[in-house]
Amino acid sequence: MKKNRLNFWLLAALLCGLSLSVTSCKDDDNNNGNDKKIHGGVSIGAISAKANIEGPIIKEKTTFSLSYRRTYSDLFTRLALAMISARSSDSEDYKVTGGYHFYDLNGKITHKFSDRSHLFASLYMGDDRISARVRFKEEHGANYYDREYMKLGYNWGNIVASLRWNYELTPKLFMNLTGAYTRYRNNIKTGVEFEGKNEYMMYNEEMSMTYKSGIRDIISSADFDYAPSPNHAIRFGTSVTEHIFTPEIMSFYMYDSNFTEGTIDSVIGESKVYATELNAYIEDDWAISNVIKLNAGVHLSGFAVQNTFYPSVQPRLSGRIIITDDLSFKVGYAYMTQYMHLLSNSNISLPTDLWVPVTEHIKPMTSQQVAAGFFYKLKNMFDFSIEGYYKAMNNLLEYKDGASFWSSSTKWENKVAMGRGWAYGVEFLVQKNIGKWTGWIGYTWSKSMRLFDREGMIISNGKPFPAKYDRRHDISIIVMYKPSDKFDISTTWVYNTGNAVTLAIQNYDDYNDVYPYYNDIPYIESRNNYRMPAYHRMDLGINFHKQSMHGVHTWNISVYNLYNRKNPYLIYVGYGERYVDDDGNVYNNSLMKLSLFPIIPSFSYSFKF
Amino acid sequence: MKNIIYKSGIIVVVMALIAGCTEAIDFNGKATAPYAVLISDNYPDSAVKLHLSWSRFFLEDNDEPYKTIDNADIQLMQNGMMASQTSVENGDYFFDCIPAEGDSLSVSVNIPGYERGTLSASTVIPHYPDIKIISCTAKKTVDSYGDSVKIYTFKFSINDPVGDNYYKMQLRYNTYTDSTWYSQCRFSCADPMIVESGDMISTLEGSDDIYPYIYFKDSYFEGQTHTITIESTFYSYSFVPEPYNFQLVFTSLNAPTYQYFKSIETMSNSSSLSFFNEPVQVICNIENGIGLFGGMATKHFDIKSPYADI
Repeated sequence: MKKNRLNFWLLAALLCGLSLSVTSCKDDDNNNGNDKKIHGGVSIGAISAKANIEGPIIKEKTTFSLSYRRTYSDLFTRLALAMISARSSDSEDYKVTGGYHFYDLNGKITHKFSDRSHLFASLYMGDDRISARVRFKEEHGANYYDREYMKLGYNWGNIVASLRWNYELTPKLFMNLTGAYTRYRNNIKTGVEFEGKNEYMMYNEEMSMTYKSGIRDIISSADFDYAPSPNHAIRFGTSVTEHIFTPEIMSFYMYDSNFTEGTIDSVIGESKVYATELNAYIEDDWAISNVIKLNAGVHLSGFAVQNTFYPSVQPRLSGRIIITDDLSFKVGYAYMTQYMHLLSNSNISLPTDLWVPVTEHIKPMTSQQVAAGFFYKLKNMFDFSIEGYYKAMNNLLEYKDGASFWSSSTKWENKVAMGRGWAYGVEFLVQKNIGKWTGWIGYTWSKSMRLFDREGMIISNGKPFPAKYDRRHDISIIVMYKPSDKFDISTTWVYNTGNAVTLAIQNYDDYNDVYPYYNDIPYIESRNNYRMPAYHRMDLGINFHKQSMHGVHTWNISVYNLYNRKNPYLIYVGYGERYVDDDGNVYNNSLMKLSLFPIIPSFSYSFKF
Repeated sequence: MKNIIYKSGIIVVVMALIAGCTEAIDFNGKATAPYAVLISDNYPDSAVKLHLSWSRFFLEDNDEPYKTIDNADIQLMQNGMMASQTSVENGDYFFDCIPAEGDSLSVSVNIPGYERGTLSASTVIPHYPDIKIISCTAKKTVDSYGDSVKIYTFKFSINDPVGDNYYKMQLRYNTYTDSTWYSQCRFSCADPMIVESGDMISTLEGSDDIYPYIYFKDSYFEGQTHTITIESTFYSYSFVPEPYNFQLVFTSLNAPTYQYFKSIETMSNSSSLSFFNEPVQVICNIENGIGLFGGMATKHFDIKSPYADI
């Protein structure tokens, strides 16, 4: 049994390691499909494959586009694991299987009723799945056998379906009517089963747990574009969204054939929270003069949930001044309200974040942001910009000390604290978009802090602490060289300050009559008091193109993490592992980092027609 | 139930651990100098004792006892009057100060060479809890497995003073008529004013609603007399003799003491799923140091079992 469990965990570990770097995301392609001819492409690589096709259904009237992408690392892992688990004898049978994969599917159909009337139907589906199963069987005749079965499944993903009608009411007024359905969900299932017989008894036990979280939205909206004059571009609209939240629900099942009265089959957590969101907005892009442009708008919203209604007025204002032909100045202000919160564990990054609604106890998050910057174009070849921003946030959520999304005994609302935060920074960017050499260099200096000092919701002694993603320095450099249509090469280098995590720097003994057995108490000065090592890596991609009669062939060689940087995913204390630092200091324990994704080369072939 | 959550959590963490690679890194944080740790509970009608020791840098941690501090200069004030130190031994400092309920204590500690500065703290000794035992009843029943079970129900009232008050409740029992040795007794409390007193209660994870002790505050019955009912169950197969005497141990705590013990409880309960749980800060009230300069008042209430003389 011990061997089975070790292999089960090993399998699940490998799969999880793959999954954490590769997540599906919505393809942002606004491609409506070619209305004259069928085009498409296929790409096959070491890790994934994708295909897309587009073209007319009815020439110059109805078009379609369809794309699909899937990783197939699970096929390799299943094969490898099948070989590993092929060691079976007459009395022992051992099977391990599992895999990780993600897929996404984008589909769109466009129909042109007339030059003034168009219909768009689109569908996006994407899912990430991890599964791991271990089955062990030992048999010595009909009177002695032992079978064990362990399983773990984890999947998360989105569906977005929409239908939009675009109609030109007048040459100056356009209308979009949209109906949409979205669904996000996140499921974890785990379980063990034991079945056997020996000289003393027969047994059949089963334990399983399922954790679910998700959101479903049904949206209807009407949006208008109105251009009363060349100097004004007015947008206005309204929408209604029905939200159905499943913040967290856990179900447990436990069965023992020898103690049937002890069977447990229970569900804990809120099954659903229903909410209605109303929105209306209006904004105007107003070219006051040749050098001054203004965008002013207001967004009205309301959120009804659990007999509570949260109204909000959100003004927006931005302006641009052209100082010279090459130099402009932009400034903006926005007030925003958000009716959903994202709860994340601060210690470890996993796709287990919870989207939770505001409730009668949990208020909407609000923020105010100001930004200003200068933009300069040099000889129409280089773009320079420098921008500064400040953002103040209220009613942020963080898990309280000791809380976890795993907790089954406490409603999620009781696990969180509300507080505020602020962030500010400066961004520098230079980019070149013309010529054989293109790319950009960006640097951001920023600071993001949190303060949770409300009664009953105090974190870190009610004093300010850095946000988890408070990245003081962020650098990205992208260089692309394309000397011809046959060859191009690109390289990316990214750097950012390590995440802020919480580490107990000191331990102490609590010589207390109340708790005589507690010692080695970790003392934490404040939340997020320690910085993980910086994250940086370089990626390289080389493409070779060949035009043929039927289309374009492309061979790609790419390397992720070119210099094999062991970026930290998390840090922990390695007790009993002696460590000597660069200064020769010897310690009884080590501070350890866990890194995922070393250098990963890959190769792919694609064909476009 | 807690096991399967724990194992599932471990699976996910071990996944990453085995899939990735690990290596030791240099510690690049702030100063690693130790903190001075001051621990002093402080009860009414009991001489004050302080314990001073050093904390240890987490990378240097080992099984050796923590070093005590024997050369500190301590000034202890009781209601503004200086108390005298009587002796010091192995980090324990004894004083002739015997505080009463409601007394204010403050302490100032200077340690030669301690760079973080003078330790200081203050506390107020709480009043003894005002408890009246109303009843103790018992009933015999049979559980779903056919085993004989005795369920003891205790009812008592607490007269809560005005202001924020904090409590700890324990139940103990002995099995002999003249024994002074008590075993801890698990009990359940379904009173929502106790269980949901606006703060996380003694077991955050996997509570199963059975407590060896319970911390709570008077959020829902401040300044009032409130009746509390608790139950304790004894199974015939547990090979434990019949309880003879029960003892309700009720403690009043001041706010810093309550926060300190609550945070230690929370830390202890969440450590089994450490990667998934938010880290827990132990809330100390020592300026320039760590620990607790607390205040609590405990009373014991003997309750005879209804079956005691049978």
